[in-house]
Amino acid sequence: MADQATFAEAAMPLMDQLYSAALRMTRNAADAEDLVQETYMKAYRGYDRFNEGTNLKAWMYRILTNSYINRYRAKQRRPDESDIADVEDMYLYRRLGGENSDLGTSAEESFLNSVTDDAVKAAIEAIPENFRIAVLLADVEGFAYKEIAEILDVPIGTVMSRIHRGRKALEKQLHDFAAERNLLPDEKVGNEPGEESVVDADARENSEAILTDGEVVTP
Amino acid sequence: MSDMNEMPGQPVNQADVFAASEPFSAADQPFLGIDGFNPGGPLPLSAPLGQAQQPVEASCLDVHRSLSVFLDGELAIPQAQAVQRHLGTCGACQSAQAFQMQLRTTVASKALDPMPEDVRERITRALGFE
Repeated sequence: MADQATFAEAAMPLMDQLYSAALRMTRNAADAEDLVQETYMKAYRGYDRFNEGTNLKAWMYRILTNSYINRYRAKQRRPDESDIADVEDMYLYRRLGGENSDLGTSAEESFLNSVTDDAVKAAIEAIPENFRIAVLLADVEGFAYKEIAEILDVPIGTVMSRIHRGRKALEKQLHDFAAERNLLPDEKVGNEPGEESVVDADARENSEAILTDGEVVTP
Repeated sequence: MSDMNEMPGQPVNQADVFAASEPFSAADQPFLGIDGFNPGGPLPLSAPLGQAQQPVEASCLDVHRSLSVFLDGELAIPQAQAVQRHLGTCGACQSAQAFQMQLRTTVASKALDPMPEDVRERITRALGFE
């Protein structure tokens, strides 16, 4: 059993990380501040039931994520974001010409050197919610699949699917940034013929089938 | 499924919730068996481990499809070894691997926001930690 007296020392150093995650979830500072405060209050009150020696960071993220889902998802009209455009593997790398040896790696290096904090944050925040949270937990917070499954209370297969699809959506967003900055090889600037935005693809696929975490449901 | 809303106040046994991770079995982790990983159908690498009489081999396509899970350290060992062997001999896949690793580092390092000091103080006061 954890002693509440040790909570401050153990949990307060996590606040910047939790706030960053809360910002990516809520997408605004005021809600993120409230969410982190709520998380700390709940964690403090429940700390006597936290087993010392287990993963405090994962426990705190579970409280943060649950609080976010319960408080903010209810605000949304209908969070029908389970559908997401499926783009090819290594979407960004290919668009940057990574597979074309003639072009070398200049576009990749230019992109990595010039992509801004704001662009990365905006790209994450543009990922549909379920996928965004999974990518955040994996790529920003560094949790293992098993930990993410426990934080989100979903099966590991669902975690893998959300991370995989969410990362592709992230790469699509970063590709759009690269296109705006003219960082793409000439012949690849802008959308290719037949290529569609995530939003367009969502709309199209919604009319065809609803994909829920990898499960295809035909309406 | 537990009621996540009440999680902190529930008599949840945290030892169960966050017990040490068990290693994944091959059945948990088919090489590319999840929807979206393998849209083109089963690949040779998805053969059950017990039936593999020789080391599995990974093609460039296998590596492209599994790189994300490989870099997470979550690929089953025989498949991870196959990917590692392929990367040892394929410059194109090495380049792709290097980019994906740098991209992750970039994303992780550019999505951080420090908590504003006044809010940190507000929360500290609310918790009675002054």
